[in-house]
Amino acid sequence: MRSSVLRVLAGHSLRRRLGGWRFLGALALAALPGLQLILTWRFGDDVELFPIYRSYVVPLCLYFLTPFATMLTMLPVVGELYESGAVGYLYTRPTPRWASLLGLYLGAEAALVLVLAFGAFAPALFGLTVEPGGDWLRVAFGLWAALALGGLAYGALCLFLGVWSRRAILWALFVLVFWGAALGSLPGSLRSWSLHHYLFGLVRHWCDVEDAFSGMFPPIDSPPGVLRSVLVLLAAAAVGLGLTSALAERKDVAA
Amino acid sequence: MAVFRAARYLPYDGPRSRFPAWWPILGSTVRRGWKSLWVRRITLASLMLAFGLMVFFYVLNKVVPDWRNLLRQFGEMSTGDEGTFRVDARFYAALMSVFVIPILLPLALAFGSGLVASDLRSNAIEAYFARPVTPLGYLFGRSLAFVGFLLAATLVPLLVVWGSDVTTAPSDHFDEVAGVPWGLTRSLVLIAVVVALLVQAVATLTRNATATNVFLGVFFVFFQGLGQSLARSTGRDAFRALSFLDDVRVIGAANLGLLTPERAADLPPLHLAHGFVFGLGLLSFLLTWRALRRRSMLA
Amino acid sequence: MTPPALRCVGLCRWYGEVQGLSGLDLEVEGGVVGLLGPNGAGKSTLMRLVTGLARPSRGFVEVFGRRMDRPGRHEVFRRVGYAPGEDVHFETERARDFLTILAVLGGDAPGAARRRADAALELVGMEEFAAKRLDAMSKGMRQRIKLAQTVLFEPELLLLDEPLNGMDPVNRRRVMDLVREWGREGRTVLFASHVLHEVEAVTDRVVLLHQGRLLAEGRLEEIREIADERPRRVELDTDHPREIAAEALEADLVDGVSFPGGDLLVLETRSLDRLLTHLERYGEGGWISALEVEEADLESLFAMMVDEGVTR
Repeated sequence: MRSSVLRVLAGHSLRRRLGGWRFLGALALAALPGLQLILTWRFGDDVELFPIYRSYVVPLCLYFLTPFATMLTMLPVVGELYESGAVGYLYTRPTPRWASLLGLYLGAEAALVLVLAFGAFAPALFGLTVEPGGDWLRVAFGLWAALALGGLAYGALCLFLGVWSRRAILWALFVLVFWGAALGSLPGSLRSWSLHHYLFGLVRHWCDVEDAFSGMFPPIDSPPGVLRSVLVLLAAAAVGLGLTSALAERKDVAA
Repeated sequence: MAVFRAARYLPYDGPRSRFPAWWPILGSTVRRGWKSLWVRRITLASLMLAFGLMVFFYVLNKVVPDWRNLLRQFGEMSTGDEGTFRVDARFYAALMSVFVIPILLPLALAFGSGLVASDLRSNAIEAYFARPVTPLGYLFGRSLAFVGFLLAATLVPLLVVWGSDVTTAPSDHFDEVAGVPWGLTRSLVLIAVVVALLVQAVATLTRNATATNVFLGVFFVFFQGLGQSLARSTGRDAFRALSFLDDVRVIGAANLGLLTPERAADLPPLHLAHGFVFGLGLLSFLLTWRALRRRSMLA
Repeated sequence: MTPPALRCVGLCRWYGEVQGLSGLDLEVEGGVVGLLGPNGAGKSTLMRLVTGLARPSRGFVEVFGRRMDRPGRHEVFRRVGYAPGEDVHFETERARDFLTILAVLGGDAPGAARRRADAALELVGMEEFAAKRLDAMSKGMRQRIKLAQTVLFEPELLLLDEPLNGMDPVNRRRVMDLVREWGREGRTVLFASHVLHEVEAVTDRVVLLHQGRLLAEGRLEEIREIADERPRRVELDTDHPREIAAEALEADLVDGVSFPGGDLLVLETRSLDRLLTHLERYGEGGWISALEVEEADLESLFAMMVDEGVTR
């Protein structure tokens, strides 16, 4: 399998993502954390923005932006092609199906990473402008890296759901919002089964965020370490891609 | 040689139906909704819930005639508040939330997300407007049927529960809950109308049922988080009005006469909630109407 | 021995309780073969099973000797071109970019892929629309783009599912010429259509499918011979139906007679020429005011086969 195959398919996938209304929707979502910081600055009484960024913007990105932006960007990547039957053009070429899927995934991930970067950096840049000093960029970079890793893992799962079901959106809501964001923020050991638990571990280490959502979600006493979190998220991405590939080998392309 | 004739419009002068032009739209919307498996499932689940509560009241009344007093005393003993387990306006406010979040909203998405969207996508809208149906008539017919479905699955079961409650309770209980039907009707009619308009407006923009569902899912869930988060970070409850679900709660509480200062603490101010909900309804109506007018040859 | 371009063995496909294809045995090698059948006959199902886009419920397909329901099937696509029946594309791409992507997937380096895409566009007469977005094209243009991607690598086996849908007469002619030429070059072309004269225009070898079953297979003239052996219907409008029927029966010219009502008489015969000669005398005598003979074209042949479930 040649790298040019991945390159052209990733390019196609990225162009398609950037040109669609869903990308604008995802960008609008990514603007909301920044809007939150601006509104807090405008309407809050003597508030320091940096703690607000860490306590409110970071969890907003983590628990709301990541699942919804991932769903908007990644669900249609292959799902749309299956629904229309256009995936048949890829599957009737002398290229293995997994390579086609990987190319499409990489391109869409690039679009998702851009959206998440906007969500993480836009409020930080605003904060840096009105409240110079502080660790704005370090925290923003840490947040972006964590979100991007989350996007890789959840994106691969969305890819699988897109191939698996015509009602992928419902399954994605369950997987990303309930199993991911909601279960990951519950107290007790159950949350360690959710990918969000590991995202929170990364945010805890890279952004120094102690308590998620200022008490809305219970804090974690012993968050998972960086290495473990990264490995779990990468493994989830690999599992998602593997499942997608295995399913694509067996699943009929709709007429 | 070919002969070309000038186009001439001859108005129809045959017998006309007694019903207004939007009437068939209403009928077709009702039939279309009922064809949907999920619409039937959700409506049936809601009616079953009401029926279950009706049976519950009846059986409890037969087995333990004084159950209301016993429950009240139990509530007072366990929480110190004698109203905790009381079937009063508070009970109906909580029940209304049950009927709004897991029933009205999913039903609206299942029913409405493909309604206008599919007409726009399949160009059926032109066929409608080629007949004496105006965009306003079309929207009215669709929305009336849509709101009718939403109320049939929420208001009707709630009124059934209320009816079974007052008929099985001692006569003085009626005074306690006399204002409930009117409060429920005002709240649910407003919510149903706004949700119906909102769903249709989003569907008009996206022209796709799945995209509509995603958009509204984001709207309901994300804005809930954003509103609460902003209220906390700025210390201003006004931002809670961004959360549609919190608006529904405060409007319901106000209409049922429950909006005491203690209850209002974690809720958006009533005037802002009304403003947000009415604004949303108006904006949705204008968006849909504009999109429909653009597709109308007669407009 | 070289395996055939396409071989189906006991091929079955069900969609729940609906039968898409049932027990199809077929071998196709060299030249153009028309795949004929009404809508829902199983033509597209067969195409999708052949390309591995759907899996058989039973039986198997081999393309150049390689099983299409097993891993590694992608390698065979160097020799296969497929134009799906659905009107779908990578909508947001421009025509040249779409073909370039597919050419890279076919094994070309990006530069060579672009040149190959241009050549394919030229072949289908779309070179001036190379920079046009696919979602802005008419259906006929999209059909030609679909054809262009099929022939990117000059495949040995071409699977064309209703390729003339939505095309104007000029391009229809052009594509039919191309298909005939590919056939003459020795390529195997499976040309699916439900329009009989389209198929007649490109080939005389047909496979007739109906309700997922193979109805007939062979050369058109062979199939016509089968038709000629079947009784033909002759419908007469006459004041003397009973007399004419009695004489025709006596002369052993008809296999069946019916009186649908009024002045109508329907005769069924295997000796059409003799019967028509016999009937001339009544025409001269003014007994017959109208006479209609059932057509023996492919359309009526197909209708008859479908009605009677004739198999080869």
